[in-house]
Amino acid sequence: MMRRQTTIWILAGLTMAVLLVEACRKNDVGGGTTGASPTPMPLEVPEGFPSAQPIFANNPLTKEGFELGRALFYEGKLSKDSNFPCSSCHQQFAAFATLDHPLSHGFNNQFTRRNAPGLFNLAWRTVLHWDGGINHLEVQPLAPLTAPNEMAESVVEVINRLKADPAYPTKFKAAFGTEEINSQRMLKALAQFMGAIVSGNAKFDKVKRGQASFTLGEQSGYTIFKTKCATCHPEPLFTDLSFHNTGLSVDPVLNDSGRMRITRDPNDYLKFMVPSLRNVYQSAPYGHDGRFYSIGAVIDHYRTGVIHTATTDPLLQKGISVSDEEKLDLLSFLRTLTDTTYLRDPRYSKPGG
Amino acid sequence: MAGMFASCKKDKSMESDLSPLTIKLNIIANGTKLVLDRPYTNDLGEDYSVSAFKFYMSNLSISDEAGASSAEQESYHLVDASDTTTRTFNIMMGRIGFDKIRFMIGVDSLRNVSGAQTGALDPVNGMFWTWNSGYIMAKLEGTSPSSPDPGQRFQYHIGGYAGVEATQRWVTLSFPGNKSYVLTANTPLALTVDVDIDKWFRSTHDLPISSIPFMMTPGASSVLYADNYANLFSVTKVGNP
Repeated sequence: MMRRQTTIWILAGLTMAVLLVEACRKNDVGGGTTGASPTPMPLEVPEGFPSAQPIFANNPLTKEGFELGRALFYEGKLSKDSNFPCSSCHQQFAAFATLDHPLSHGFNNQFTRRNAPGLFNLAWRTVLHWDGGINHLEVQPLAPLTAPNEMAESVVEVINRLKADPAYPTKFKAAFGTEEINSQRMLKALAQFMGAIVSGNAKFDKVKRGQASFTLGEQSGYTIFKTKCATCHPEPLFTDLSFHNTGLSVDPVLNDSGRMRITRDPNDYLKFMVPSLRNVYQSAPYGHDGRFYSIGAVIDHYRTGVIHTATTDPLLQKGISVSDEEKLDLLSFLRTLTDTTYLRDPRYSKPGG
Repeated sequence: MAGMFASCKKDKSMESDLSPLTIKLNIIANGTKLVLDRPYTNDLGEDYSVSAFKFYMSNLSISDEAGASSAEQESYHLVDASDTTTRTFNIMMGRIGFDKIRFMIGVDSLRNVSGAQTGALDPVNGMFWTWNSGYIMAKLEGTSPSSPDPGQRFQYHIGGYAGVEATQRWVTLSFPGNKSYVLTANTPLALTVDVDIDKWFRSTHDLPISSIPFMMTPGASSVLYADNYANLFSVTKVGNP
């Protein structure tokens, strides 16, 4: 509760500060000599979604900024050997997770430590990563970019490479008014692209809008879902954006303590961010270390596999009782969370590809 | 909104009423100017040498007893022992009488949670944690025969911005003889500030290299270093730049 209040105060302060800065900037721009200004682009908020976090408060979302971010997202130059753009582990057809890989692989055939999370509806998140260690979308790319087992590059080197590429000064000018290329602009552009990726047009959403209807199995699955899953995976985001220990055994190689790594609080041992279930059928495997190859295996874990430790979620003390029939209905329901509009949206795909 | 625009205009008109105040930082070890990689002995009797020393000095302001004060806008400075250009800088202040200077060691919590920054706060400066967002407020690295770590290295990266783990520290300094000064348009002023590295290891707390040679995460131990680095600073001279 305290933490939540603090966050609210910080956000309130931030918003005020941004308003003031923006007000001043507008005055300063007065006789603007920087050429055409970028085209504002509203964040798409699907019907029924709550208000997004103010992640664009000091980074106004624009068409040009989004397009620059998109180019950077698919840009190999952001990695040491050019083979690992963001998109190497975040594939659109897999809801921007890594299809079929428990752990992704980065520079020099090294595994990452965790399963690559899908990227959508990030504008509704306050913190990022399985352990919540990232406090703002703009600074998230610094983690994979500099990690020696991921993109393995220094920020300085990436900026130098972008400066040397004749394509980028123009794109930076279009997005930010001048040709200057620096880490802040690169990160803000990436945040515009990633933050504007929205998934809210699955069959589930169409049913909610009265444009489609569930089959009997889907409807039954939805009813079961609301009783047995929705506490941690509430609609419409299908995550409560908090951290839980779901009773997974500790992998002795990874020895991943989860949220405790960030908070150093023993009460957070083995707690991980609740993943959204949107597009879950497209983003196998599952779990923070990708140990589950199918959604059925995840449900089976909750039925019989929960390990009880001091921090295992109280709601899972007896596991979750799901009959075989209920399991099939749940799987039917979870398929309605697949959003093909988003999975194939050309605005999110590789530019020119 | 009208109020905001008015406040911006006021800032602009005030710019002409500002004068530079020069801050000169002398980094000191064993009472003499620090030379990197030269051996010194700390107050706990441990020999050590410094290979890197960097810290943020932010949110600078001057004030007097009567309550007048002036604060630098966008006030973030990264001081680097290996780069003389970072050890002397000007801050633009209102032309007021003042008998104190106040600043923060580290970066305020707001900037720790506000996304990508630039200038002194640019992550290219190597003072931002990528896996656990937040600034390294101060960094001290070197070697010591007292260190049990490989290469006899010690490495302190002190950060953490929230709650009990906050490592930002406010420092308020008076001037020699408790004198006061007036910043005017015509008389440039410089404050010489000594930064005594020996106090890093022993001031509020005793922090021997032999016990803690390595600190890379926020937490209770980092807070001890923050308590100590708040003691490093003293104004030794006020005069012409």
